[in-house]
Amino acid sequence: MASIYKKFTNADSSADHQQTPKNKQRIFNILLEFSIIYIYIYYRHRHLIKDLEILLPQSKKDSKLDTKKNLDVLNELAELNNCNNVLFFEARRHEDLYLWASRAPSGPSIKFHVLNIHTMSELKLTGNCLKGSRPILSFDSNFDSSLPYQLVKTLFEQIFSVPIGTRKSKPFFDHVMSFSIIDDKVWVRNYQISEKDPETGSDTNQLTTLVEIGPRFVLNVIRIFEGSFNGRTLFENPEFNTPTAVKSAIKRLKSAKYNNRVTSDTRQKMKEMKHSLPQDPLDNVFK
Amino acid sequence: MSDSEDWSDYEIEQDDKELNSHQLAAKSDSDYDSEEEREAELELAALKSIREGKTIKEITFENDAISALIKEINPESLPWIERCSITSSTPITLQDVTNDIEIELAIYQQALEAAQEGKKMVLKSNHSFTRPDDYFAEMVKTDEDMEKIRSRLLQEHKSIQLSEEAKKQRELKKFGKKVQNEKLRERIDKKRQTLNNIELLKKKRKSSDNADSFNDDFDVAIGEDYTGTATSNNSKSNKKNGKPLPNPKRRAKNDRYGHGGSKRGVKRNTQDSISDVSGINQNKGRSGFGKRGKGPASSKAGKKPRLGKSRRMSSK
Repeated sequence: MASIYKKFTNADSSADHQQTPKNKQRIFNILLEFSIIYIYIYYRHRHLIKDLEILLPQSKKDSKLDTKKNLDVLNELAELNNCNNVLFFEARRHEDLYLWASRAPSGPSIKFHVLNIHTMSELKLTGNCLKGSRPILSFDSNFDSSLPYQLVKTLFEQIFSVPIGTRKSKPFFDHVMSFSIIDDKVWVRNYQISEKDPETGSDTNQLTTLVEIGPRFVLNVIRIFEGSFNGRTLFENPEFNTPTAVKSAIKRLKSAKYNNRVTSDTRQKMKEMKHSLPQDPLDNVFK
Repeated sequence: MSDSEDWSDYEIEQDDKELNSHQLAAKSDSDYDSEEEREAELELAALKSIREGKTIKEITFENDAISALIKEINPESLPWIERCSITSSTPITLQDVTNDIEIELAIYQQALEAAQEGKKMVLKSNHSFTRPDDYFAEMVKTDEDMEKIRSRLLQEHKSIQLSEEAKKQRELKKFGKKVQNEKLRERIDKKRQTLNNIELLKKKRKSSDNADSFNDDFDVAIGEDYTGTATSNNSKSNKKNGKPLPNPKRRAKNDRYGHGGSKRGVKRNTQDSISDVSGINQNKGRSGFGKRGKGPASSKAGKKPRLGKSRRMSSK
């Protein structure tokens, strides 16, 4: 059931190698799952995973993971592939997508609920950028307002930045990945930096415009764990409601419409019976 | 009586309560603009109901642990160019978090600021920012995808143009109709005016008829003949009936052969007709004194007598 996608980045800072600390990159992806269930993965989730893989040249996609319970396996996999960050996508009920962002093997790990997914293949997102070019990460200063969000920010800085000299990466900057906090959720957008006049094609150094490339999605923080896919809970979002609870509440409200009608009908009947007029003795006088 | 009133009041109160709790569900489908809006509103209501039912548990954030982790993850010694992360100068604050346009605009502003700031920082740390024009490489979206996007944009542009043209055409049509209506109204006005004028003239003529019949000659061109003096009696009687008069020829025939009214005995003599001598020519049957030719000539007293043939011929 769970469709799984992993991304590992290796960011060993080896001080003895050179004077300045450096980021090293390894690309590695894992996607493991039951083979039958594979076709039932909601296509949009699959496209989102594909888009992120394209945008992050240091990532490596693996096959689907065939377990839902024992997520510690992921730490072993990360170690095996010499990676220190994991993005793990978990699809449930064919429609809900959860994202684990973790720093393997020591932690922390954060579990998100992914909402409002729009992939790059949507035609209204008209931007384009080099495959493997480095992004500029843009964070809303709301991230600094609370500690949990600060942790999210530092983790995302690690995961979504492309280190210098990564294999398959290009040494230019032509897109911005922006993370903003609106309505207590993290909104992710990816824009192309366009410095050319769209009509004449000439360089306009003063005027920078942005064109959206995609994907776009919203992350709702559920929990922060101390370890990687384990450990005690450091933070839990009190505002989070599981999508199943929301769905069942909607169903309840919808059924309330029918129930309301039935009860009001019976009440009306009761009322009529109670308030029926007494027989008028003079009713038939003029007939 | 008062008992039942109290009872009904209570009932109504209860109804209101019931309505409030399920107000949303009870709304009819037509209250919503679209299915999506209905779904969204339902979802909001559902969230609200969940929140009301939930007992909020005491949550203690492990702030110390979190800050320790942040320090551990983020080595300060790493230069900026490794991460290329920029934090916005002003936090995003929105009035209405359900307004999509507002949200997108705010995010765009934040990203734009980061792009501009980032360019400066990248150039400062001696890295290339913009891709040179002769640098070709694989893009995130393939050429086919971009072609699709372009064609869609073109189509959108075209459809907008078409709809605008259609709108303009509609406007023109509306305007054209207006012009046509105006013309028609003008024509009707003109007709009415001329008819009024004719009526006025007729009235004038009638009044002048009574006063002075001399003016008759000038009015020939206007109005119909049958309003003339010759048939004034007939016209009067006909005006009473309100029927239009027949044409003059018919009238002459009617006069001659009789039409309408009693036909019997019309040609017979009566007391009056016998005593009426106005139609009798006294000279008839007599040869006048000093007069040549046959009798009837003398009846035309005012006229010149006909000359003899030779004189007539010579005068020609």
